[in-house]
Amino acid sequence: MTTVDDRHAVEPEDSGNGLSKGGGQSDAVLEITDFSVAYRTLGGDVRAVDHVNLFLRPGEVVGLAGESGSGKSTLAYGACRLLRAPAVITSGSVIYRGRRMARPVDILSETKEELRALRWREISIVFQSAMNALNPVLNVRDQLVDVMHAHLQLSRSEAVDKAAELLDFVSIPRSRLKSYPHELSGGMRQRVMIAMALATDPEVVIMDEPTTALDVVVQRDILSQVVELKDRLGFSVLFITHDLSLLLELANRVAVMYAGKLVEVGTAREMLHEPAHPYTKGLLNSFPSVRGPRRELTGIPGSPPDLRSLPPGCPFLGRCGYGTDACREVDMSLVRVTTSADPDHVTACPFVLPGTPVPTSPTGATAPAQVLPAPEGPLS
Amino acid sequence: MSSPGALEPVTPGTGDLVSAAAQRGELAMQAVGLNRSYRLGRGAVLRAARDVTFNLYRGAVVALVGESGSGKSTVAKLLAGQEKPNTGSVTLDGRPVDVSSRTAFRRYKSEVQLVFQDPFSSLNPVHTVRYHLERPVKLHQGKKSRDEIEAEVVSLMEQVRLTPAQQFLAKFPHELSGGQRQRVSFARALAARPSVLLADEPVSMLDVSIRLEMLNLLDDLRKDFHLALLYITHDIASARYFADEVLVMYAGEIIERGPAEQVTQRPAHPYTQLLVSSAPDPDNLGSVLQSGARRGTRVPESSGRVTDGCPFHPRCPLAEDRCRAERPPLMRISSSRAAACWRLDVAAPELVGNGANPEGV
Amino acid sequence: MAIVMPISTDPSLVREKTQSRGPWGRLPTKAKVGAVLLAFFILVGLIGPLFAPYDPSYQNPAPNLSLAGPSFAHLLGTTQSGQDVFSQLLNGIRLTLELAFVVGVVATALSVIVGVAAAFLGGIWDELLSLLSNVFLVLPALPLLVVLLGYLKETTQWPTIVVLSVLGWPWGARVIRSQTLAIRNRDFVAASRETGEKGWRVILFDIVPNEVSLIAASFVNTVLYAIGASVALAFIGVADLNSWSLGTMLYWAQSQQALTLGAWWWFIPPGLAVALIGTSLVLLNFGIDEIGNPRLRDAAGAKRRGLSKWSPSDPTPVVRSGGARAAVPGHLGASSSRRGNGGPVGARPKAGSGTGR
Repeated sequence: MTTVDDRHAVEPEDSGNGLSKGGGQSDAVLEITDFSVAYRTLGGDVRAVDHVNLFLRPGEVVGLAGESGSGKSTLAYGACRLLRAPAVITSGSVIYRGRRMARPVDILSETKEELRALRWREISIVFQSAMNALNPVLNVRDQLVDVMHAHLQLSRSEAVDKAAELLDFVSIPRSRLKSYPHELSGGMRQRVMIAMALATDPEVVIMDEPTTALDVVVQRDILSQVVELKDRLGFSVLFITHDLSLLLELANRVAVMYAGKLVEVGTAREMLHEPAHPYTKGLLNSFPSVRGPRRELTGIPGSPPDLRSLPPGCPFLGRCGYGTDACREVDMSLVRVTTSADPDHVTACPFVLPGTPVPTSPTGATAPAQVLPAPEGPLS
Repeated sequence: MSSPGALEPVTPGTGDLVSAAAQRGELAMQAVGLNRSYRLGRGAVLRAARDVTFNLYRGAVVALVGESGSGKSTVAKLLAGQEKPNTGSVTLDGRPVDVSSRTAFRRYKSEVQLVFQDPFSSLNPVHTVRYHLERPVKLHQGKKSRDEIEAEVVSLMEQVRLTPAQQFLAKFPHELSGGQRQRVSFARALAARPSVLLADEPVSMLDVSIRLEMLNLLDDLRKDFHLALLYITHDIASARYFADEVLVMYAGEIIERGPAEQVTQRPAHPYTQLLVSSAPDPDNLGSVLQSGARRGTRVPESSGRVTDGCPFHPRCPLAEDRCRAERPPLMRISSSRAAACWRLDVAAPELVGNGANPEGV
Repeated sequence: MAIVMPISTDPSLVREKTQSRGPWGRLPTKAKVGAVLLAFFILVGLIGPLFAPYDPSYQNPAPNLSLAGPSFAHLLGTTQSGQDVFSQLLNGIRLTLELAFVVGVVATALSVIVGVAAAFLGGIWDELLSLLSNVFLVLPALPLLVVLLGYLKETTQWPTIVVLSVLGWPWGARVIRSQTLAIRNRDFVAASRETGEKGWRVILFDIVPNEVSLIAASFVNTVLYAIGASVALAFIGVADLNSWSLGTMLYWAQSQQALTLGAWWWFIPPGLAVALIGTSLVLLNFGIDEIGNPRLRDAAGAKRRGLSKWSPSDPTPVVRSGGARAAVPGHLGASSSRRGNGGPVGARPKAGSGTGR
């Protein structure tokens, strides 16, 4: 899919073989293309997700990072069509190519019944708050059996056996089959959620901040477990979190979102060592590290964006140390980072490269000179 | 110092151990042997705080680091006067704290303020920012005229960098972002002109990119007002960044204490070591991915039950019989560091063995 | 399964425009209808009796004016004993509303006091006050009223008012108690105490203002209950039969066989008045409920925005309007940011949106 962007000097690179920026690959198990979600409010539409391309390969862990208003959760839930009114999907396609599917399926054009067959069996979700997502009046065994009944044809005894097996997967003692959610610790509850998500052997598991409420020790443990299961069972993971530092240890690739738009996508290594987008740089600078030298840190000045009144051009302009007037013309299409070792490393900022130093002149849109001359072609 | 190889127990609060925070200013508050238990159903008892002893000094930041359930919020409530300890006491400026009567409580609140964790629920949705700030000014700063109150309120807004003040004063909490609300909470606490500020996870519910700004603000307030700051958090990395002294809590007890940099760079107690190694490590990229097969031993979770002996022994890779039977006291590692563990010589040999150099980082 | 996904976790970013309209603008249509209707009846109750052409008790002995149908002289006809129904109706509306509002005010005040006190004080006080509420909840109105009316010599509405007030507060008290318990545990109450506020100030200025919509709904409910109960009691004769309330009108109509005699003008107007007043209160309450309960508001809002055919178990609708309106109309820059990269050709922006609004 190519597009000609005729209003701006920077042209997105067309690789000619069907690949577009941060976008599709024919072997992707989940391919989200030009995806937009809007909330219909009385004051107008609010673009929670704005023309996002993202794909997930089999067996891959893709991290989706962002803060308030980034649209990361909206993207993931919207792609499964789980959002409630007043959310509407306004553009794009979500192609699913699972191994069990006879042909690729566009989730956005499925009917309710077709979706029900797809959900959980092919794509499952581990929710953020297990205490809210688990049924408080059913014990663990019944909840797992319930899930299996809904999606698989198993007899009761087969389902109970499988439930016990699932608990083994997530290292919960089988004796806990009869326990109720409130009798389990936070980490165990989250593991039950993971077991539920894996009950039907899905291809894609979406994890929405699954460990935020847990302590770091349990968190690390659960995440190692997820990776081990992924290697064993072969599913892909879309991991949503605000904790970029966690993704860098966990994910193969990372996508960073801001104000509903993708701002950078690349491998974890490149994102950490050579972040291109000013927001990513700022975000990485927001995590004090336990190890290593003690640096002076500032995070990112300013506040999260107000999606109802985004300024023209780049939404990060008001908080960006590199910002200039030219940023108001940026259309946020993703361009390759040519200095990156990763050929698919893309950024939404056409002016700033990984090595670009922060200008010493006062920050903000009124800074007189541009950091770089406006490029006429792909960044070089 | 004790001879290397023979560790001595220390009793904090008696001058055995020097706090890294003491150099900043005079002693503001002392928690001495605080114990707080809660009775749960079926005869079970939850020991939320056990023998908690530490000092707060003006101009210094002491961090209380622990996971949820470690008892750190209970300690905050005890110091704030919201709850009474079963045994033990709190002294403020040398005098024991008495919050039994309403006036005594009010006086105490003029000295010690607590900042809450959740910016979205700690402000009353039906009142403006101005109301939230005027109340403590009226309550704690004596008789003032309208203009004086207004001036004070504006000054508070400027201190927390919420300007233009007039614009924000008229707003309701739902019109502010999380960071702005938390600033209002800081301002509200400051309005009482306290000498001690207890911050219970002040930034954990805020966006990552603004957390540092808020911590830097807290730091500035500490300097400007010479506050004694207790920073409660589960994030040991931010404690390293922000605090002078770090106290690590586990199951209601302080199991390690010392200067922030030393405790985080060379942790002594096995639990602290576990915490530090579990924190995301940018230099060890993809470690979780690679170690899909467990990294080290899997650590079972805390069951929450009271055990004899060391509270950490069910999860500790170094646990021995003595650990299961006898509760270790805090053992001196240096003049300012201590850890409650029987097996420090194995857990942190470079700190306590022969030729140890515990002061080095 | 559907998920309510806020745009961000930051509520200030999702605040809808509705919250910047005044209280009147925020009410949904049904509430506005209810409010207008109620206002009409209140107006009638206030000034109506001044315009009553006759004294409602005056019995016109003229035989042709007994049970006469509506005419110019008697807009709603006459009763068996020649009394003007229209005048009775006007007075009836006033008296019934008077009774209902007094009961509403007293009972709501009692329920707020008891409910908030029980929740705030907790412990033994909570137990005692809850016990009190439960006892009053099961007291039967009818025998109590019969007994009271038997003892009291005055003939006014006061016995009814007293009994209904005394029996009408427990329900609201329970509801307010639960709400107060929930609010009491919220951080801002603890923060208020942390600031050093006294207990009564915390109750009055921090907790109660957060319950205003609940108290309003409770009040409207109580008024509704009072009307229904008073009319029903009057209908069976347990009331002051010398005063003209809508209930007593119905009592007399029934006892004089108005139905069998076909004198519709006698019982339909008061019955209709009661029904309409009740309806207006119910409609008003829906509106108050919606303001107080965000989930109802979402559902109603979704309906209003033309997503009425969507139910929570449906998947997210896909509306491919390439030119969906920008959040701030006329803000040209925002629409240009819609250009993503490599979108399918079909997603070219079009002028105007697919579903009009």
